[in-house]
Amino acid sequence: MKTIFLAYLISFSWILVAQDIKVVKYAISYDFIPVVDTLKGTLGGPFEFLLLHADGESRFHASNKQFNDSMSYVYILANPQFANPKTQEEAQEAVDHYTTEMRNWMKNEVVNYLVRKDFGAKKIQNELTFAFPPQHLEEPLNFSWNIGEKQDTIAGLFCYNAYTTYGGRKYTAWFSPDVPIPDGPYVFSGLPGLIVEISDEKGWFTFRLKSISVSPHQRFWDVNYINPQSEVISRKSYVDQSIKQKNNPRMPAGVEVSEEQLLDMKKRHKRSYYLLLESY
Amino acid sequence: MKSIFFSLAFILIGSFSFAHTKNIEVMANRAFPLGIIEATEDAVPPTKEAVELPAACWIVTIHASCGGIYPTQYCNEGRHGTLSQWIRSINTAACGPTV
Repeated sequence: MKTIFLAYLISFSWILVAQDIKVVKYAISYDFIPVVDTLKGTLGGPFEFLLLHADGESRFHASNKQFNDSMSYVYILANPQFANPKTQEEAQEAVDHYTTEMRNWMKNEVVNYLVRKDFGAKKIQNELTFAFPPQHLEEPLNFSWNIGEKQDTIAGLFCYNAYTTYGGRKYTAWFSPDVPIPDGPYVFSGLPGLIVEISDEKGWFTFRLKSISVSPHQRFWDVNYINPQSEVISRKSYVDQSIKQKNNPRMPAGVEVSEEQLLDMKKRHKRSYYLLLESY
Repeated sequence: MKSIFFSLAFILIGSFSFAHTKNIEVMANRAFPLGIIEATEDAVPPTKEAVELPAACWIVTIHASCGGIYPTQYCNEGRHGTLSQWIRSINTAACGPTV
């Protein structure tokens, strides 16, 4: 009987694992350097982001999110008794257990973007990460690039420059034909080589290549990367909400928060220019 | 005027016959679940259980890693994501950013 139970458990775990782990074709990390003071031109970070690709789909998010997601996944496998609370008491117990167990593991993921590029359907989904109920921007994946004549060596790779406009900003990219991956950080892609560095014309937002792994390997892969109930919103709504969050931040709907806590949030968001990357 | 009347009548009769046909299909599907008449998703009404998902909501208190305490509603109906995702998003909103 025990053997049957164990076999069942193992096979069930395997199904769970199979759903949430994928062999990625490449994993590329970038440093994100956002402006934190536009008057003085002070830059913040760097914050490490990760570009993963599997089955015609690229995902771009903070490396710390990837770490936290995979740790949470392991936590859920190890603590199935807290997975589906049935009562108020069980829900609170689950919250307290997770908070206590994971406190020492969790990494800071305060600067985050969550972008999904679907190369088959040729669309980009860009989550409004702070919003609740969940919302995202959905736009076609069709960048128009002008390839320049400048050449340089960046991160040890021979690069050409290229220009594009996206979301109200002009960008200059450096790409390397030596790495035949037509992908890049954030929403950017479509050049005949990996984007090694990209920066807007004001120099407020820069993504710079940090490391490349092109050997297929397994990574945590959330089946619900974009919440299935996420609402598609317009660019105007996305940008307006982002500006509002920077200037007058709010907690997600349904969270009780004191005036003092809100004031503290407002202070901390003064330098959050990363929220203004998208424009119109 | 006449044409409007006839158009309305046509729409009414059309929708009645459509609904009637659909009801017959539904009845047939119930009577012959193994499919004398081929079951289609449209013809079979969703069960009561499928319509009324057992969504539950609780008020839970989250202790943010930076010290604050945040009572929050959490519902297991999908929009909040998993409980751990919800805890993390509250923690991130409460403690960040520290650029």
